[in-house]
Amino acid sequence: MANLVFNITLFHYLILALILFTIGLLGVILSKNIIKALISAEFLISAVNINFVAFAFFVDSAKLTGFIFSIFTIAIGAVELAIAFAIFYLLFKEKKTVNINDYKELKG
Amino acid sequence: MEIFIQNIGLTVLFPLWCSVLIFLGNFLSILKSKKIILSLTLLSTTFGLITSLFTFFNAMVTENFVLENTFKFLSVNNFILELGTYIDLTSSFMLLIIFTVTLAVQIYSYSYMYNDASFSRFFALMNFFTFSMSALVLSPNLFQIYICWELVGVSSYLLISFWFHKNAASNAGKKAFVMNRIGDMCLLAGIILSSIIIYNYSGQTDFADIPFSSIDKIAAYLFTYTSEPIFIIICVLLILGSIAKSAQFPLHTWLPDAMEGPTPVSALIHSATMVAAGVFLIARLFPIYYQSSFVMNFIVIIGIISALIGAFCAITCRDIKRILAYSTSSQLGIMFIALGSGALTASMLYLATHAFIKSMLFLCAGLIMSLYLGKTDIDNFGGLKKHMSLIAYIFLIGAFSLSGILFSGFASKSLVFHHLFETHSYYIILSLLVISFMTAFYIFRMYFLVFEGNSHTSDNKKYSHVMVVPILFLCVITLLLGFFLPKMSTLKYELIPVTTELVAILLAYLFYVKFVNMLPKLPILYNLSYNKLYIDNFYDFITQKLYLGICKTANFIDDYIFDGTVFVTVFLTKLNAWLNSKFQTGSVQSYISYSFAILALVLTGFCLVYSLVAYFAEV
Repeated sequence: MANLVFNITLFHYLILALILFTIGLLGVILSKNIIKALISAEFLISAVNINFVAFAFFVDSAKLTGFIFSIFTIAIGAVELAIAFAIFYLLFKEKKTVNINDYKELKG
Repeated sequence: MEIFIQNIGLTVLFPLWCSVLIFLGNFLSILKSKKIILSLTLLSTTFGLITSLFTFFNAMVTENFVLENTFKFLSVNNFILELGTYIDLTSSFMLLIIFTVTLAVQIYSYSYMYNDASFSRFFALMNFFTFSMSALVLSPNLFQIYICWELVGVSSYLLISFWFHKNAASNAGKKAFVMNRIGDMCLLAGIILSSIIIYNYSGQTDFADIPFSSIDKIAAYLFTYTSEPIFIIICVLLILGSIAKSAQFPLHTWLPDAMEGPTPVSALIHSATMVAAGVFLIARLFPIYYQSSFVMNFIVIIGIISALIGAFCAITCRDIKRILAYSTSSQLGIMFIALGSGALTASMLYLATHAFIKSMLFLCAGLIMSLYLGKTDIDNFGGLKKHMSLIAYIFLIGAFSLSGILFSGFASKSLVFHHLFETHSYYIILSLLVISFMTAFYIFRMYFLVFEGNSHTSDNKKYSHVMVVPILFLCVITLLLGFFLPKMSTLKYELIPVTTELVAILLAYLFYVKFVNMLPKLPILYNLSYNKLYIDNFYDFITQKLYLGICKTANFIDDYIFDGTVFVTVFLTKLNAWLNSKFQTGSVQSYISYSFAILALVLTGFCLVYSLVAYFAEV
């Protein structure tokens, strides 16, 4: 039984965060749908949050700073999301499409 | 009489009004009648002649006759520039010469230019010239002289290139204008320099515009308040203005080319009046130049060089008008010699006699040319005495007078010689004898070639008698003027020049009548003289080869080195911008990928460096 028990260490958390971050990054870069890109951006935030919490749990003896910081990050991420949705809504009204390739007004 | 003298300004203004009237009348197609144009012109000129006659006699009778009428034209601080009229003996004398010659030439040009399409333009310009010339002569100060100097230059330019459709005429006009421009700039520089010195240093701000009424004081101030080199520079600059106008040595090449203009223009402007303006200016500023012996010698040397060059070039010249033009340059050189040696009166009288003689000769040449359809080469003529004996005798009188053997030419030349013998300037006498010899030779060469010898044409040429009247008029003046000139010469001083000239005439007779075609062409001298001492070629070399070469080199450097640098910089910047713009796709996703790629690179590099440092630190 003892062999079956995983001893979850900091390293495992960091790998998980790395995988999540990579997925999120690829999602942001490669997805053609703007909503998908937005969801992938949430992956990035989650990966960072996991890192925060993992470091807070394993490294910090007070186990407080990282937790509180991640709560802040979640809140700010939510706000960000709301703003992003608002912008995308307006953009959608303008363009009638969700394809990210049509949004190239930053070219210049 | 008093009314005429008091209103001498009208003399200046009538020709201007005439000029404007004729020009506007032609422009608005109101004034078409040639008779009305001529009578308007003659009216104003006759008025000027009468006024100047009265003024001249008044000036002769009254001791130190001076009449100044000025108005304020411009005032800056204490500097007051006045325009107006200033009459003394010199200016009334010049005015008389100008109006006499102008009257004769205007009558002459009525029939000379009658069939020309631009008849009224010609008369408008002639009147404009009369205006500017008389205003120049009556200038109360140097600044008005400068203004009129330019006006005279402009009318000369317009009249030289009167037949502007002829390429040679328009080129000659340009040449005269550019040559005169050089002198005008020097004159302006000289005027401004002297004005500044008077204004700043003498404390006499009234004299800052150099009025002629107090030229003696100004001369003293100028000499006192400047160092010797500065004084000489100012004088030389002022003299350079005279040199350009009077066609003297370095800047004389415009005068022969100016003969492309109509012959009345050559007779009036380029022999009698405008070219004499340089001599007149020197006479006006004589007290200034008299302060320095260097300046006086400079005038003499310029005069000798140009008189020699002019006479030398005239000997082989084949164009009848150009012979007279070189002769003008040479005779003006003699006036310069006389001025430089201090014979002010003699030179002014020489100017007068020369003006009448030379305009008479020019009118004769114009008459001959008009009969031969504008041919000017001396080879086309010959034996003309049979067809026009009157003109031949008049020309002979002019030739004798010009060479200084008889009549007024003799009287004025003996005055110059008298002064030179009295002051014992034997080098000048020697060169003047050479010049007189050459003068007599070339003018009689011209006479013999044109009037004597075998006739080339058998048909009897008919000439307009209206054209003969002004020639006769000038001839009478030439014959009689000698008796009015002061007699100072003794036989001793007259014998040597007259003998020299008679020998020259004998030589010319032998070469051109007795032994025709036996004359050996002196190898080097003939070429030198025929090619005008290569001065034109030299100027051509300087402007066309040297100056243009420098300009082309500068242009090459500008085009390929300076502009090339700029072009390379621009190209590199554009290339850079083009490359960078390729990364600006506008899609946010690509930006994100760039930034993460760069971040990854930086981090990788950082880790590598860190680990390497750590590894080597351990080792």
